Amino acid sequence: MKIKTFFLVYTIIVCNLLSMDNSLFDKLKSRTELNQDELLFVTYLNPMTCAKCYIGVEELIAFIEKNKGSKKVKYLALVKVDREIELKAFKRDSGWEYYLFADDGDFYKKLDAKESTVLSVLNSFGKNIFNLNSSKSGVNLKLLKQFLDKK
Amino acid sequence: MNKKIKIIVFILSLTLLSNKCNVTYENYKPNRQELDKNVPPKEMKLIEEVTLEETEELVLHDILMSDINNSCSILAVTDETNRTLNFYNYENGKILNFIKADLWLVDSIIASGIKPYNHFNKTYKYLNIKDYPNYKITPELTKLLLNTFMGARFVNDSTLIVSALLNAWKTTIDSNNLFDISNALVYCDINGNIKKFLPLESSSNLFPTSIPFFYNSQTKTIIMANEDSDRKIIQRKLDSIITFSIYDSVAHFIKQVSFLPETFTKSFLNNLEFSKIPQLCFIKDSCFISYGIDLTIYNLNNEKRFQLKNLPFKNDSGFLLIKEPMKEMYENSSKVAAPTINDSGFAYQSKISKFYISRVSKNKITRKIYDNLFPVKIANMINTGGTLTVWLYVIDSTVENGYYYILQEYTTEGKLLSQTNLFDKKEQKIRHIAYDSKHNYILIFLKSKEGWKLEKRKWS
Repeated sequence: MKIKTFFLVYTIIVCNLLSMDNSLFDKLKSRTELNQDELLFVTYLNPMTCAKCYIGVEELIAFIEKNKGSKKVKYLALVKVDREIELKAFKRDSGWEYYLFADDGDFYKKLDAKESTVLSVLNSFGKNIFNLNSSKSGVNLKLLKQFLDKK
Repeated sequence: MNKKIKIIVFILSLTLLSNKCNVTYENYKPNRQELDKNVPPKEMKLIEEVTLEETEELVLHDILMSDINNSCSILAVTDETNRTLNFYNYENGKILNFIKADLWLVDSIIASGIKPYNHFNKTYKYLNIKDYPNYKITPELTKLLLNTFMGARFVNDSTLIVSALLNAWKTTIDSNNLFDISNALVYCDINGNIKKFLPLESSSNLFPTSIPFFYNSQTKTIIMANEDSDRKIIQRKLDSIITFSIYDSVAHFIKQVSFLPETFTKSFLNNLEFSKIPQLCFIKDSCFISYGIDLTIYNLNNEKRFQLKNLPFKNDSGFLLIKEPMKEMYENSSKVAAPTINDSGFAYQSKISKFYISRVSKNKITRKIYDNLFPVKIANMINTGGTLTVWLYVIDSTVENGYYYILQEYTTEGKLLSQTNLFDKKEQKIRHIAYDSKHNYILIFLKSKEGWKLEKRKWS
């Protein structure tokens, strides 16, 4: 019985470790100087994305800011660009006020998100707590509120 | 062997066999074709390499369309991400000038006097930007107006026709605002001086898409790609879906000239977005049209098609296999609600947008499956001094990056003259291919972390 429990726990730990690309998260953590008691809200932007999607993200951030209570949060956008110079241009043109990181691959996969994910919530160990799906805005706010209200 | 094990092995074999026989669009793998070794490979000798200048003000993200003026002194490039039209010194790659498609284009729409399309049988008028606050159009909603320069063609050494995709807010007499998308042809010089602004008329069955387009200097006409949402979505007819129309030099519609090929319509693939936009190429007076995954070239003048030859894969089986899921999606799309406008003034509940979304998400025909079904795609066609060069994108899991490019050179009658394979380097990717007719150079635009290079190559 003890051996079975050991293997179960071991499998869970290994699966958890494999499910997240820690090298990427380490870079994001370093970029945002994420502390242990902070949450990282990651959004996925494309410079070609329609402005409506971008405004949607800004609205989500405004909602989080209003409802976060005592929770410490940081925001980071993974932007679909090939180079740092393009990331700088994106920052200038979009007016994005938070952290940015160039996404020259499908980084959403490495953060356990889906192609349709608009926002991922990560803890300071890089664990994906949940994803918000872009096509369900009503559900998004409800999920967020529930999460932010939790102590 | 134990009897039980024998039975299990037998059942497993049957299962495997039945899976092999039952090829669906989800597990399809394309068969490799035998290549004709007698088609001469053509070497492309590097003549010159030029770095395209970038500054903090002008960062080049991608190249949508390019053209070189007659004297080969200026290279014009459109960047959809930046929404700019950039001019470079063709000799040394230095930036000469750039124009950003910004809010000023909204004023140009209004100044042109064109009336907006009347959606939902309501009469609309365009709004001046200064009047936006009076119509509850906030700065956030103004941010939505992302005008873009799509294509550029030199008319003479210093003047270009530029196709622009434009956004503006329009309103009804009872202040119902609606976001509007339209197209225009902008005649400008390389200093950014606008000489003419000509809006293109659009309706539900004729929406110009800005690219590809071509200015025919002989006939002084413009041929541009069109969409016809009305016929395929509202009327639910799959035949005669318009793809190209001809306009005169002052942007008046003359006639529809080309329609979606049967390979698409018979497979219920009536949305070109899913297959890459159509391509256009003029050689002398002949106009050639292609449609991404349909591996034929259509000659608009004699209405004949020729099949591309000597390719590593075919797309025929893909068209057959995609028919059933596409048909199902098409039939399901009839159940969606009639168009309505939401609070922000977007007609997001329209049949059209629901139909497009359902294709990708609900029915799970993902890009990967789609790529397996159609491993060869026509990326572009180029007039290489009287011959037609077809730039193809090939998805092939046996090569290093999982893809490569083929350049095939054909006569205008469809005889394959030569072909060359091109491979991306790990750190440097091919992003655009064009032609310099004066020097007979193939122009290859390469992007790396360090920046952009323009390789001028010559076929030996």
